[in-house]
Amino acid sequence: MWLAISLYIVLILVFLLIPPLYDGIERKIRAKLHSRIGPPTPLQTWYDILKLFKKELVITDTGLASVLLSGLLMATVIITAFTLPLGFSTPITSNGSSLVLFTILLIGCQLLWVSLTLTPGNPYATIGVFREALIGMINEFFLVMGLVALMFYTGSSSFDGIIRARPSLTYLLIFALIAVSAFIGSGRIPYDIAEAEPELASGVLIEFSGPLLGITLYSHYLKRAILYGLLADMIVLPLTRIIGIVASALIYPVVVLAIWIVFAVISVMLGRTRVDIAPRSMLKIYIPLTIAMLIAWLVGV
Amino acid sequence: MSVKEIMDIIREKLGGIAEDIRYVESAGIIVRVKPVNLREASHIVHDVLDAYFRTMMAVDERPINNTFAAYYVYGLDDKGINIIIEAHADPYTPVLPSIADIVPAADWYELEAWDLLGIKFKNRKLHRFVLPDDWPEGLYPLRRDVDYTVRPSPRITYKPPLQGPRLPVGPYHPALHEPEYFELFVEGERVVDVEYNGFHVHRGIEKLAESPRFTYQKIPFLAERICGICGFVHSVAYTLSVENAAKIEVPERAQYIRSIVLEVERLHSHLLWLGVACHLLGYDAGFMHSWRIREKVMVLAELLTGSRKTYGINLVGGVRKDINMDKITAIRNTLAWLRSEFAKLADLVTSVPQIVRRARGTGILPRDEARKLSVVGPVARASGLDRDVRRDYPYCAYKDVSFRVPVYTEGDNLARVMVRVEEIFESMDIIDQLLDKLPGGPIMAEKMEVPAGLVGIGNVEAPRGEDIHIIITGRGRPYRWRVRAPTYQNIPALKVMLRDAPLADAPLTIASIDPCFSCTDRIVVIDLKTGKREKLQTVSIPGECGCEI
Amino acid sequence: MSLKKLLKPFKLISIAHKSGVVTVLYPYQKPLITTEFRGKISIDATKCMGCGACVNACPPNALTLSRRDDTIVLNYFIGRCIFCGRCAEVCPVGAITVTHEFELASASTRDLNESLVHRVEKCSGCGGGLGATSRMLQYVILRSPASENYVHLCPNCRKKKLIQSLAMKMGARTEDYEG
Repeated sequence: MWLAISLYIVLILVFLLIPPLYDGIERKIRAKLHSRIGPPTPLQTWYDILKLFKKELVITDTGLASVLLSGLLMATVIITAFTLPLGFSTPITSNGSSLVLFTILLIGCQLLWVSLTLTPGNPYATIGVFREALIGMINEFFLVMGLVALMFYTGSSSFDGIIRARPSLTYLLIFALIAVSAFIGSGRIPYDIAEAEPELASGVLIEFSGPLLGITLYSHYLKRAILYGLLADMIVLPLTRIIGIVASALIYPVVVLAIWIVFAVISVMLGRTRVDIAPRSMLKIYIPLTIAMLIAWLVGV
Repeated sequence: MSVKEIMDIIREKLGGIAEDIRYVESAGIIVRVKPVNLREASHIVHDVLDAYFRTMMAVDERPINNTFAAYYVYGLDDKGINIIIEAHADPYTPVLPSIADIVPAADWYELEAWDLLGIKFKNRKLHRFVLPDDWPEGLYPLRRDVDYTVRPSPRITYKPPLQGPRLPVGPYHPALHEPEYFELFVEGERVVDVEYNGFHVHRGIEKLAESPRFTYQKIPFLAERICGICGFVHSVAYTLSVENAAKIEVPERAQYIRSIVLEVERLHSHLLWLGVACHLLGYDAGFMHSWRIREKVMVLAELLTGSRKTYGINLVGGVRKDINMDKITAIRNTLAWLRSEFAKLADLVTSVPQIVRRARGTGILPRDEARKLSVVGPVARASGLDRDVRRDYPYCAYKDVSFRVPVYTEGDNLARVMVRVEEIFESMDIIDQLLDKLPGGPIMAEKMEVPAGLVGIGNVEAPRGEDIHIIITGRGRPYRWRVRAPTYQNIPALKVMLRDAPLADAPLTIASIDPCFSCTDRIVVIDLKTGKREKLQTVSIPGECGCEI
Repeated sequence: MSLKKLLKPFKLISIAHKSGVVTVLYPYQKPLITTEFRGKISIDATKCMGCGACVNACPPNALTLSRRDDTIVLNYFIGRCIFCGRCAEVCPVGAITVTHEFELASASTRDLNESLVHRVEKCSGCGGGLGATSRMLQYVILRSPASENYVHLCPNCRKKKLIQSLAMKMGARTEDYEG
């Protein structure tokens, strides 16, 4: 028990600090694929965020709402991180309905993100928010469906159910469904149209600067890490039965990084989609995947 | 068809209204008409003879013949001959009939002539176009009696903000890398109308060239600075116009070197553009790799000319830098490398699903609209107009090489991408052919004299389309030098392309004409600081971000 | 859609791998410059004679010549220079060379100005300013040796000398012209 708690304290600290580093690693890898040197060190994203915190806080007419909401967003994202098992089951996540709580918090993050980006009332940001909301709605629907399927499949509304999960085609397809929604939900090309630089001048982020932008960016990276952490949990948690919690806790950050890099490489290969094409292309992936998952479940493979 | 036969046709069609028809080898067939007959003559040349509108030069000819003159240049592309309609207006109250309804492409030219020379065009709306809003009324900077050093104090103006939901794209916008302003009126994500507000960066180059600070041999360097990407085309077009006017014999070798450098410039310009297009579509890998390839072309340009950009090797009469065997080997090696690398890149870029999805069927410019606006370059060729100055009005060494002019009929962004991709391959072939045939001899003309009072036209197919310069020679420097950059002709087509299209396509569509705003803005001496600030104020709309929806 | 076509964008990895890293750590690594590169010019003070041929050719007026009574100053303002090298081409004595230097940014405009001060020769007749440097005179003498006799005189003294010698030929006495 004490082992689990001390392990958890270390890991949650690592988990809260590591997302910007992962982004730095992503930038280095992206630079390699672009045949350029890229940022001097993988810590560059951290330096960027720290530098933003050193800048003065600019409060516009609607700035107060932005400040409050960004603080709320960051707090919610951090709380969400606490409800995620980090490669092993913690006192919080072994709770009877921890998966439900996690799902609700994740949706809460999304809603806060949308309301935060609505605050400046800038036309670019407003168009960006509409795009975000459109994509978010479709994506959240399938993410929640994937999580619900997971609950039914494991027969438990707690993360602990995943520990007992046996590898099967159904499990794989649920994983794929959640993976796709994690990819899209983490705002990557081709689905980063809310921040689409060329036409919207970084869209939803346009009015944020200094510490406000720092908080927003950090929340963004942490949310990304949470989504990939969920996927990593689906891989690592069943392994705890075999390798024990210390080993799984140690490989957990590596698995998150691996998922991060795979997603980063995929998004480098692709271009940005358009808001009217995006829903169609998303449904083209989601609907066959959902049907396949249901069939596999019914057949029982 | 010979010049004589065309003259006969023109005599037959225009004989009734023309005051004088003459053929000038350095320019074309010049038809002088009375202002009252200008509309009819324009209609006959533009619609009956089916000539493209190429450019219009308005000149203050009061010191010569006490009139304001306007020269409308039309081109019979298939015959490679210009028809120039010349009309003279009264020196005190210059008025000419407007032809913008007959020749839509002439719209901008009339506004410009009104702004800069004070020539009034009847039966159309005239408004501030090139000059900033705070420029005083009644001061026409291109008139001969206005000194080039004049800096008037700004006039305070107030323009009420327009109503309706709109989205500013510019003057500083990440999608446009130059100061230009598009006001997109949007409904949701759909663009319903476009307002264009340009000329933020005029430098008064035409006026400057007429000033005593410049001489014939200094202007090539000035002309080269019209554009930061395709500057060499401007210096070639200028030197060609002077050489044509003064009948200077330019050595063959110099002609070849100019052509080679022009094609090298096209290579780097198209590669740059392809990179930017990829970036706008979110495919940064294509952007980076396109520029990686382009870098080799830049190094090659530096080896050939001494500079990566603004090569500075052109003078009236020839070029300053010769090509030796080492350089020829370097060109051949670079081309061989470029061929394989670019083929791989083009294959890669066109395999990215989002690129093709978003380029196909967007930003469509139908053929008839393209014809009406006499658009040029890849924009024309992607809309089914088969025109290329290199083939239609051969200059430099292009008469000695054979090449294909890619023409697509779709008129969408993808067609414009494909035209440019194919042109890159054609350019490499052209350079190879030129190197095979490169003649020996001097690179600079021996005899050079430029008498005053001659007209000359120089045209070059720039990467962005036809670039055309007209010159009236003066003593020691041009009397009038009219530059018409390709983007000037292509921007009006953007209105057609952007309307009723998704907002997300707007940056790509704007970029698809490969706009070069500094090329287009080259007309007038203004106090940049006050002019610009005033302009910004009038377009900014209350609200903390300077815009509202 | 075939799988091959779907996987084609992944060719990027092989392209990127083959081309390696092409950017450099500027300014720690020097960027590539070819032998033909034109940078700022350098004026050889031991050769320049202050004739101003470069000033006439300079398109952006980066080179300027200011004449005062006893000096001619050739000033090179790098801030205006377009690095075309026309000056090097037209210099009659080859005093100007184009260098490869291009990192010229400076916090002070003083660093962007280079001046070359020439002393103006005095007229050997009246001692007034001649408007030319000694190197210019040597250059003229070298080109047309016959000019050696009057090149050191100012136009006024030259006129005087000419009239004097003409008058002498016609038989006038020297003392008529003194004072």
